[in-house]
Amino acid sequence: MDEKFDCIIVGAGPSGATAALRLAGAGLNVVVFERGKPGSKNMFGGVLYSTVLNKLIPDFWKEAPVERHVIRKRFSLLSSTAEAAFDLSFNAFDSPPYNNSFTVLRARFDRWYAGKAEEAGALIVTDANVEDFIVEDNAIKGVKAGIEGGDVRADCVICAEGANSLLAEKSGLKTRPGPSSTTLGVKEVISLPKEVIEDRFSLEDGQGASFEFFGTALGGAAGSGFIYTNKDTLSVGIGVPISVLKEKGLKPNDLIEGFKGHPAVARYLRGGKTEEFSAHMIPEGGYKAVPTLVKDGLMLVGDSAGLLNPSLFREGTNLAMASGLLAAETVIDARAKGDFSARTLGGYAERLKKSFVIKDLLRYKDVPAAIGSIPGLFSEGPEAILEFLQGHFTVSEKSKDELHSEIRKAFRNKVSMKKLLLELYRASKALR
Amino acid sequence: MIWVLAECKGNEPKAVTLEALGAGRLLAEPLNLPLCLILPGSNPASFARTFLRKADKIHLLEDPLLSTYANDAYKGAVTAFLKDKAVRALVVPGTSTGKDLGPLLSVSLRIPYSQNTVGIKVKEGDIHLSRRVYGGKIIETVTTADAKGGVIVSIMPRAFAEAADGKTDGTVVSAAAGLNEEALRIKVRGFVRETGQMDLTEAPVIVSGGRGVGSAEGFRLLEELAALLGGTVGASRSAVDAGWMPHTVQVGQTGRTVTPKLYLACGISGAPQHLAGMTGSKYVLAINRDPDAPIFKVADYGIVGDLHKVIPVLIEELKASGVAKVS
Amino acid sequence: MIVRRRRGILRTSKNVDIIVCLKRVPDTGARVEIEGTGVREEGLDWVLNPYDEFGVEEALKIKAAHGGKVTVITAGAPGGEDVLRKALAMGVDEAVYIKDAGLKGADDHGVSRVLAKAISRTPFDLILCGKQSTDAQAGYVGGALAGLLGIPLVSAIRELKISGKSFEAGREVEGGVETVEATLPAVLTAEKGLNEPRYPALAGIMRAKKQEIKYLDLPSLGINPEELENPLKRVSLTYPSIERKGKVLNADSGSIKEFAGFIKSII
Ligand SMILES: Cc1cc2nc3c(=O)[nH]c(=O)nc-3n(C[C@H](O)[C@H](O)[C@H](O)COP(=O)(O)OP(=O)(O)OC[C@H]3O[C@@H](n4cnc5c(N)ncnc54)[C@H](O)[C@@H]3O)c2cc1C
Ligand SMILES: Cc1cc2nc3c(=O)[nH]c(=O)nc-3n(C[C@H](O)[C@H](O)[C@H](O)COP(=O)(O)OP(=O)(O)OC[C@H]3O[C@@H](n4cnc5c(N)ncnc54)[C@H](O)[C@@H]3O)c2cc1C
Ligand SMILES: Nc1ncnc2c1ncn2[C@@H]1O[C@H](COP(=O)(O)O)[C@@H](O)[C@H]1O
Repeated sequence: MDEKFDCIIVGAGPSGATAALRLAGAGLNVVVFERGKPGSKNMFGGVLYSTVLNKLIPDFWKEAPVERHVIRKRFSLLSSTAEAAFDLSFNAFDSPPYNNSFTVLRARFDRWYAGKAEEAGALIVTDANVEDFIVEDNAIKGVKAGIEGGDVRADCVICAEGANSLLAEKSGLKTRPGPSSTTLGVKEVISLPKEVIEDRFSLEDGQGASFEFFGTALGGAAGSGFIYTNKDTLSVGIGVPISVLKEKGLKPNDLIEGFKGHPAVARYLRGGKTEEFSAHMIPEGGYKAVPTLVKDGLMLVGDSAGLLNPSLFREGTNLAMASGLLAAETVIDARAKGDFSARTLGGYAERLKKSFVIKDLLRYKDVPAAIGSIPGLFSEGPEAILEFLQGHFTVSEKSKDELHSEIRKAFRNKVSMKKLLLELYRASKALR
Repeated sequence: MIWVLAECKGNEPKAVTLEALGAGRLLAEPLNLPLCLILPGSNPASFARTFLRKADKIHLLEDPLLSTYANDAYKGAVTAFLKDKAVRALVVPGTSTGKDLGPLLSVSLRIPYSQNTVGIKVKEGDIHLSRRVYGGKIIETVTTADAKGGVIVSIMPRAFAEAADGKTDGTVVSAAAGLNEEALRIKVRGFVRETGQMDLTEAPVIVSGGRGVGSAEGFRLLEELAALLGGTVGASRSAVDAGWMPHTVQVGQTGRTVTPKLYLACGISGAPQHLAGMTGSKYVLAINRDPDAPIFKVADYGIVGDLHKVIPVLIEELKASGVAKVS
Repeated sequence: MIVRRRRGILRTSKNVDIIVCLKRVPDTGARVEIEGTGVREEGLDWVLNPYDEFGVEEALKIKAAHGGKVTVITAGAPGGEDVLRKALAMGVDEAVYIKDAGLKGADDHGVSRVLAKAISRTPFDLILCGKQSTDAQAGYVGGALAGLLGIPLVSAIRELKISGKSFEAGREVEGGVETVEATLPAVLTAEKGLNEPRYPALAGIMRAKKQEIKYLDLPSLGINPEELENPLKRVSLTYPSIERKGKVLNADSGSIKEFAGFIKSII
């Protein structure tokens, strides 16, 4: 291919499409290579955080294929048989901008969003897997995409390939993240009539809920589970660090089946039909795992740069879009200067540092380690806590004092109070 | 009148003709219309007898030019024959012939065409036809907009029971086909049979293999089992794409739609595109290593296990029990 | 008839001008949901009917061998640009879109008439259609076009050889391939196996983006939307019950024996 582009973007996910939208909007000649069709194979839990998107396309929810806006958030701790939950519902989230939290199905959303970039003038090439970079003097000068005429040159490349970041690794900026900083997400889309969903989750038309489950949700393995409501489907899934899967020899399939079978979960899924099943990596290394983000002619954005906030719930889309936008701004500057060296492109890293992206990642930097080192939080802890609570609320003939001292004793025998309090303290400190 | 167009192979009627008569009867009886069979061919009189107790009237459309099927000759003959007759329905078998001819007749006779019909009902004098659309994911029921209007009903093979002998005592009449060789533009030059295999859409038993079969050699085992059951071998697209089997035996949305009596899926996961081609089978059996394979959801009977181990044992069992071939 | 005269008299070159009919269909993997008396369109992934891809590929091959022009045409409600662009990216010369709200809900009977009307206005030697569309699965339009235009039809072809004005095609029939001979102009419908559709090259994709699509509508074809009323009325859409609650056993000698017994009992 003889034509030279101003910028090549690898991947049409939230980060890549954002960069394309911004650059094409500024009149640059951009091409996006997407190995599948936008969204066709992409998956995520289900809540799109839209602060950045709403700036780019004001009131986007009026035209975008969003499912529901989240007004209800529920966090629950599961033991093998019981549940303690914290349930929040906010009427304020029921009006624009809907707390910038929308459930979406990626197949639909990504297609729409890539379409917006296309409308803005970006060329989106589907079914084109980028296999390698064109490198000259150690600078990235283009990519080799797996279609006829797919060797394409550009002033710079934005790598937005997501968590399975083979290209970012090829560029030398990044090494393969270890099993403890990568989580495997497994998800099913389960269909239920709209009315049943609204009834079961106490929602009105358009309103949505996000449920996060911790504790023994995964049979004692570190990880969490979720249910998000769509229009007439539920997104149901789990996330487990690869290290945990390996250590315990667990099969993701068994884990999601176990999760779906937990009585506190099963009641929401009753009568539903599994429509889709998918699995995907999540880079959960947090701040400490963020690599160097630029080199001559190349920038990493979104998941491929490890920009995901692994706090109590996963926030990736927002960071992906923010980084895509900031990378695009940097390209526009670089073009004005006519310089695409790492020095100029480094402006992208500077911008990120000043944005919520790096600030948030810094704030939650200890979460991954804390979660990983506190196995008790996922097995004995929840069992003991819920047993304690059950004891507390059991109606019996014994005097309250008698009862309470019995359960306290039982509780102490199960877990070391000191250890549990310490673990809880560390976890809450990381999450604060 | 309810018309049925017979399909012949050489000078023999095919079994689908009996199914078409079965379907035709579902219309003729409630509508109280005569059921008439059109027998085209170079010597149809020779086998008209077969149908005496299955149709009210048998019309022989005799012409040497009809000895083998060519669409312009058949279209010409059938159109000339039916042009001035009342047609409430014309049932054609949904074979390569019927699918080729149906739309042509629809234009020449000016009556609508309904394909892939799997259900026929008469409700208050209206003909309701149910047909498979979206790869069988949905059944669409239609009726003629013009209440008494005619319709060409192309039926799915094996969707309707063959017509049994009835009380009728059919009469046989001859009609001229009125063909003019000069006007015919399509010449059939020959036929190449493929690998001596039974045709998938006609096979009573299909032993089908998918990626789980693992290799072209793996299919030998399936062929052995199929031969034992008097059937033939089919394949999923993955097996075809891997080059283990020719695409002519691919079952599914972009392959054949099959409706055998017994469909045995071996190492096939049961993707929607595959299911689109085989859920009309009378019995579906599956062998798969994965207990959660979707194919089990549409199966009447399933075995969870390695097909390379299960099938040899199965073959032995079937041999020991002296299983007879399906007729 | 008009068409034949045109072809026969005016044309002397050995170029083969081809029209390929394209239909936009939901991806076969898509979850198709009934909504009221129709199918819910929101959220469906649309693609070029896979059989039509064979048609486009064959047309491009014929063009490479014989010369001529390849035009693709689609008729329907909004959204058809994508499939036309796909064909343009593959390398066809021209794209025509009969875009009219009046075509929404029109079935194959109406669509065939509209296509025939539009096609009869352009000279052509060959029309290629898909054997069937993956949504309607009618396999109607190709045959109907042949009937309406009064030219020969060869359906479900897997092989094609063109020499001058005549051609030989291999038709897929039960148990094998039938060789059929006829002359152009004609309608052929493509069966799987005819060829391997190419992937568009980057240059093609870029060219397609800029190429103009020619739009037509019903009034410009002199068609009154009322003429398109479907001769078959939809009564209902339902889901088939394909699920069977069969027994699923783990393989061991006992269960295989039982399995064999079951097979024996049904055949
Ligand atoms: C189970 C799970 C639950 C999650 N839940 C949430 C949630 O609720 N909320 C939230 O905000 N985030 C969530 N996330 C995270 C979120 O999905 C990601 O942070 C976000 O999708 C990152 O966007 P991206 O554009 O960087 O990458 P992706 O969305 O992964 O997109 C990358 C794109 O690049 C393409 N591609 C990759 N390699 C190539 C190549 N070589 N050539 C061409 N194309 C290529 C891919 O096909 C893909 O389209 C979740 C993730 C998972 C897995
Ligand atoms: C447009 C389009 C059209 C398509 N058309 C068709 C079509 O017409 N027909 C079609 O079939 N597909 C079609 N497909 C493909 C379809 O989506 C699936 O990819 C395909 O059917 C999968 O084939 P499979 O079941 O053989 O392979 P897989 O899905 O890979 O399944 C293999 C199965 O074998 C099992 N297995 C593996 N080893 C063994 C063993 N030793 N013993 C027992 N079991 C074992 C596994 O558990 C698994 O369930 C189409 C796809 C598209 C996109
Ligand atoms: N709306 C349409 N526009 C153009 N071509 C069509 C249309 N519908 C059907 N066709 C063509 O007719 C073939 C058979 O479609 P069908 O008769 O719907 O099964 C398709 O493969 C297309 O080539």
